[in-house]
Amino acid sequence: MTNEDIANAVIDEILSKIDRLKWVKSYEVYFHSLEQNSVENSDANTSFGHLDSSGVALRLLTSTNSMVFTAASLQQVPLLISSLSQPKTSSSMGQIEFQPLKESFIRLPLPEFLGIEEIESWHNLLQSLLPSRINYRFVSRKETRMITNQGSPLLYEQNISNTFEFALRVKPNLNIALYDMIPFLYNEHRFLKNVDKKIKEYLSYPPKIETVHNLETFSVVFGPKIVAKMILEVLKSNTEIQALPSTFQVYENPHAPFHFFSSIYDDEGLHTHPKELITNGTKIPSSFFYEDNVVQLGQNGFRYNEFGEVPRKYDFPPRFHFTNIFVEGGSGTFSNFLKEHRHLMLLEDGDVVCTEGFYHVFVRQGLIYSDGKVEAIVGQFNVTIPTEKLIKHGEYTADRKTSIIMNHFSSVECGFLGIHPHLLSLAF
Amino acid sequence: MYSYPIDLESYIDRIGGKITGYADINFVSSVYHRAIYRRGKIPELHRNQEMGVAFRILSGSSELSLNVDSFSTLNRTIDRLVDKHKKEASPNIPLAEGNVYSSTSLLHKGNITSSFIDNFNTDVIPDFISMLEDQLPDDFSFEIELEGSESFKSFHSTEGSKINQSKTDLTLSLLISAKKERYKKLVERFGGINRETLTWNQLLKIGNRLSEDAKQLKNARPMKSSFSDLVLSADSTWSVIHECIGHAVEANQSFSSQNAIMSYLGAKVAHTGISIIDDKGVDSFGSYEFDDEGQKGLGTILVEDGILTGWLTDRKSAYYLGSSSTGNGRLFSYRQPVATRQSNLFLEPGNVSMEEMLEHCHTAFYVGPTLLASADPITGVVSLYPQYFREIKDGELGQFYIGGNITDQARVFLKNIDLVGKNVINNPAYCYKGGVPMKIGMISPPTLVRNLRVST
Repeated sequence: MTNEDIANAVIDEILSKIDRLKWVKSYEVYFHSLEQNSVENSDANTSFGHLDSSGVALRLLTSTNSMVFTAASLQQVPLLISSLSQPKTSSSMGQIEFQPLKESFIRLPLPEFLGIEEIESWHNLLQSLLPSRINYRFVSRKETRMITNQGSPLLYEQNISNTFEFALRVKPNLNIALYDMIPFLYNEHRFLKNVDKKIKEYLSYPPKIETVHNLETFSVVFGPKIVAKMILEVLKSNTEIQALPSTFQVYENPHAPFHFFSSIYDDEGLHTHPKELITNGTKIPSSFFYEDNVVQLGQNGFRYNEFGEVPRKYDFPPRFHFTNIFVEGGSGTFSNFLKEHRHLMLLEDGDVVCTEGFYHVFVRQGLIYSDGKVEAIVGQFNVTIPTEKLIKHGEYTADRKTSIIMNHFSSVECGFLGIHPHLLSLAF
Repeated sequence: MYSYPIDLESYIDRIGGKITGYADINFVSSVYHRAIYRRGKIPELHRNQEMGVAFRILSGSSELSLNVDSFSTLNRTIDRLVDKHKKEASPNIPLAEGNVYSSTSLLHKGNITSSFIDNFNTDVIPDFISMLEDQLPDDFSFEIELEGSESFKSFHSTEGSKINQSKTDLTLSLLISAKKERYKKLVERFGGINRETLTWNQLLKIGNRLSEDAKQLKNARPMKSSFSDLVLSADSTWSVIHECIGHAVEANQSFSSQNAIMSYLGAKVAHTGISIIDDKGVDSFGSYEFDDEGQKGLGTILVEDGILTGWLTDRKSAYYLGSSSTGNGRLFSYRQPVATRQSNLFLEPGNVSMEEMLEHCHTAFYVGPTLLASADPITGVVSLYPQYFREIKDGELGQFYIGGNITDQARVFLKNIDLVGKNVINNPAYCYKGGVPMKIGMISPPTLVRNLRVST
């Protein structure tokens, strides 16, 4: 019996029950299944994993205009169905209806889902190709989603994603590990090439971690992981004033082929659309709601646990979430920045918090370049940048774009953002 | 009391008969209740019930984790995967020697019930919302999140362990934030496994305090960089301890040799009088009798009178450290494998009141509860971003400040603890290490820490 057969049977059973309930005015039924195979290779041993998890979520609008959300894993569906006999109570939402869903036959191209045997073959190949001091996690994931509401057609969508995440110790017994996550899509040669390139780059770094204790001034380049988080901070904020350099053009494309979050439908069954989010460094009003309880608005209703990093799942009701964000604009290049500035710091990884007029960056991993070469790797410290300076002096370099996988497997594809020298004081 | 969709004993016997190594099963059945109330928004009421199993099979040179809730195909999947791995001739992955336990009755933690959760939601929350509506300025929003869970776990292993445990809990988190300045926010979570932690008086006390703080926060000034003496609130003290010690001692065989703070094992890392314990037995959010490897959850002293004494382990990491498990092998749900995680992290209180602590400061800052904290066990650097700072002048709390953070080496934080307060909080906390949430007890007094670097 396939996942689709199970989903169809479960949905039919639920619908036949709901149709007999007088207290239910209208309904939405959502089915989600996740199958995942993985291998994790660490210093000590190898672990293979197989995850198979499915469940159903219902949103029921009652005759008194309140909404009930209830969910159950597959084995618990009979209990969920029996619990529907009693009328539920919740606060009134006013007059609200689910919009009818429309069928669409568009299918996005998907990578191949890898069985545990294929994962094992990849593991054996990687063992023979990669240095021994690399720890990695290789995951292949297949998700199936089905949704219907009040008499609408049953929509079906499948997503497949493969990821390769690794940590490399630069030297044995040294207090540093370098991390990266590379999406392994459909082209196996590109995947191996990317991993190989990154490992060679890491191996060329000096085997030493620096701790800098004084306030210093550097030319700074924010790497794609930090730029991505800056953009999200801007999108989440209520501000409609410019917060990024005017070369920044940001848009969302939920239909980008081979991206993890690509979906023709959101988790409310609404058809998704590409849209502009930031033009000339300024957020477009209402382009990105950061409301937690949006119901069928904006085609961005996705089910996820806001605090975990797991992908979409049935457990939670839909909330607003972005899909795949792309950053355009900028004429600078990273290599020019290296040429122009003898000493510069590349901030590779960290967290960003935005307060009024400032970006605060907690840097986990930074590289100090001297004459174009990495001179030192630096650990955790903080950088604060006034928004005004970032707008005036920031230069976006779109030449080496990377797709950054954010939590819940959404993505931001962007390049580097450089700031000219003697403008920033870094507090270590 | 609970009906199993599969016969766990026959499954473990069947797997045990096929492999040369070790296997265990964790069966988990849970009901989650969740209610969210936002100022001026529609309330959300959720109920989620789930049931699944996590198998762990150590046979040959590899480990196999099987996490499923679709039982119809389980037999076939197990046969396919186990048959493949049993053929390996290489030595089995080692585990530290474990004790075999068998509980004849259901071991239960917590006195919260479904009806208590329902009644709290319908009877208490509306009054709490009215109180917040009255007290909070219009330009502040609030969010109340009520989370309750009733879980049942059954553990079986090829060594013969059979343990049935259940636990109930309920937590309430209150978030207050300025409508136009989202970064001005206050958040506090309380509740736990006992009803006594969720009294109306407790709600009133917290609601009143946060409402008063919110009014002050409106006029908060931006923090400036400095080296300062800091009085850390109990919440921020715990965050520092959790990041500095809690995560550093979670043994993981991959990076155990590269852990900055643990290179000081056996050495003095804090003043005499500072003791930190991971205590599964104390009544708090992270309590349990047995961990998810069937090992007795005992108290583990991590720092004793300032000396760093030990690791937290599961059976696998304990083997690599040449010790026995401390009973910290935990899983949050059947969807993830077991990992070494903290239970209730407890900094032993001192004998100084908050007033006395403030009197020890001529010029200093009070550090409010934590907004964000992180640590890198490899470099040993810890960052704490509090919800606010308050100026301390001549022993009195004054002006609010926001925007600063405290970042330094874990051993600097620990060495510079000068005084430990006597009033302890016992709150629920979630830790999201590696994206996997885990319930942990936050038990801590406030502390006075000298000469820490505040950055902006």
